[in-house]
Amino acid sequence: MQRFQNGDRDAFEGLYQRYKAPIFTFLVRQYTSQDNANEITQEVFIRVIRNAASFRHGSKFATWIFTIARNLAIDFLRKAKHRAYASLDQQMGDNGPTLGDRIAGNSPNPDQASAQSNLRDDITQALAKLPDDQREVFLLREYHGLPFREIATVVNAKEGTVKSRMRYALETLRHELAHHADYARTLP
Amino acid sequence: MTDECKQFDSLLMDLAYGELPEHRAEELRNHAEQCATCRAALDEVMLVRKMSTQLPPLEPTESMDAIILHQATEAADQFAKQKTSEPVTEKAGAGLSPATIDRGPSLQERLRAFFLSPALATAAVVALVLVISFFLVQKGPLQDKPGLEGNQIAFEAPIPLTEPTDIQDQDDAEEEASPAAEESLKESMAPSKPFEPKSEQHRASPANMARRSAPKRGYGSGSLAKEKATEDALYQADYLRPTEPVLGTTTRKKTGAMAPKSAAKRKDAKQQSGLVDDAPNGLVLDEAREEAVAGGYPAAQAQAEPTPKALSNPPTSDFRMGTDAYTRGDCKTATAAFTRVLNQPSSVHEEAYAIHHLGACEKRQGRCAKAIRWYERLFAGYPRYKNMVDALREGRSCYLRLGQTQKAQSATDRINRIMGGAEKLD
Repeated sequence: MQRFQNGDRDAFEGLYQRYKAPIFTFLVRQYTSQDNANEITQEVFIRVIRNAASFRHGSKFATWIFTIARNLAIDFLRKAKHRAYASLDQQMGDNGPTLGDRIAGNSPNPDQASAQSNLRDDITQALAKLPDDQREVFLLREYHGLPFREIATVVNAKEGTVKSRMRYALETLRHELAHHADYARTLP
Repeated sequence: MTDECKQFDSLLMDLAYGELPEHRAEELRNHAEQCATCRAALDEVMLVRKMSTQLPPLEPTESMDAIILHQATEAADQFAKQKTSEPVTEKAGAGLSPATIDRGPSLQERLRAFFLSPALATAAVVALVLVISFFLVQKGPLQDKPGLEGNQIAFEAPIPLTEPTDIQDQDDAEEEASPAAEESLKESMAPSKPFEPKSEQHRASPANMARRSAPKRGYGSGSLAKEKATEDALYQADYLRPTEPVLGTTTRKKTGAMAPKSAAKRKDAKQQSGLVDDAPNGLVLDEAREEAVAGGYPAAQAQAEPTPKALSNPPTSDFRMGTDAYTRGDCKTATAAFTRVLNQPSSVHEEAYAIHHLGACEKRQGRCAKAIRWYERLFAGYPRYKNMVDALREGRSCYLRLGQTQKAQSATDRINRIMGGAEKLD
């Protein structure tokens, strides 16, 4: 970031490649659909570029960019709250598959009957069941490696609160994924 | 629960995620080996962590890469320019070691940043200007003069105009300076009376006829006139010289399109005020230019031939303009630019890209019905468009919003075919 602020053209590309997927993943899993997450991800990096001059090295870049992403997503959802969307959980006719079942995503082919595939689906559903504040803490810590202190800055809460939310999230997930415990023990 | 167990429980998250100093973590792990309850708690957390690793990261579309990296390049160039123009007081980052960066700047550095901040500098300059102005007002020409009482303020006589600043002032100055005009000036300064249009007698008066028939010169005849003529000539030359587009930028250089407009406005104003001018304002500028040419100014000389029609700033590529505008969120400009792309010879990719983003702009503004028309044109006409998956996803989103689930499903099927390799893209 410092090199970018000094006018190094190639410096930003490294940052972009490093954070592109994490930001996108965080947005999809925490907030919204992939289409919207694409738009928001693009906006996040545009904001980073525009405000690069004001970035001071008092906090880590990861904290800064995730804070931007979180705030943009919240704004986006606030605006989109009043729009009518076809619900992905709405069943197509009696006992038919839901729209969400029929929409392709980036997850593996649902026709595969492997335990891994089931586990992934169940993790996704379990994450969706978590309250928003617990889920965002879990995602930031587990998938993006932010320390609890940095997460506290991103979500604007105390560090103790963040650890409590993490604890509750882990307990809920443990309960939801209990039937995968035997399989999980075989994982490396 | 013992005290050790309570401590273990309070630090469980830090232990599980490696945020404890090593010696402390070692102590807690030793306790867990001896305490079944604490060991079970730690095992459960680690099991959930293990399961979580099975969820792969997601990848965004690649279509945004070019846009973002292009913007980053422009921003980096801006930073580099600022760095070269700023006085070098300290090399950037020289005072910051990696350890400092990790911990944040020290108090000294924060204070330095505060006192060197542009906002503070601006505020200091403004405050200084205000203080100086205050003192000048106190000690300036508007102070009380002898003979005045109370709060009377002495007004100095207005400074007579000697050199006009523009054509309008020139005309006014000439009118005021000539003896014949003094008479009309006195008339206008007479006690106010109801407005009466100037009579034919006035129009035919010698003073008025003399004023109207006097040749209009550009700027008088002094040294200032020559300077103004040079400026004007160079300005005209600059106005006439086509500007070259700079790659990677969308800034527009202002041209001299203001000159004829302002001249026309002045002419209109003069006509409306009843001051009929025999010589069109354009003559003044031409005369100035001819003076400059006669004076041998190379820039004006090159343009001595009849003035061509004012050249607007040659546009950057419409495709690039549309892309930049879309990236900035300016859908109005993006739509106009991409529409122009479709109305001129363009490559297949540029056309497809333009159609895609015309649809995206409509979608952004909540007009899904219009967006779908663009998307369907893209789907049908450009089957190998390389960003087709993105466009299909966006189209699918619109179909869902409009309740067109059959079409949404068709979009999904096509996405699956492309991702599965059954359908090839460029």
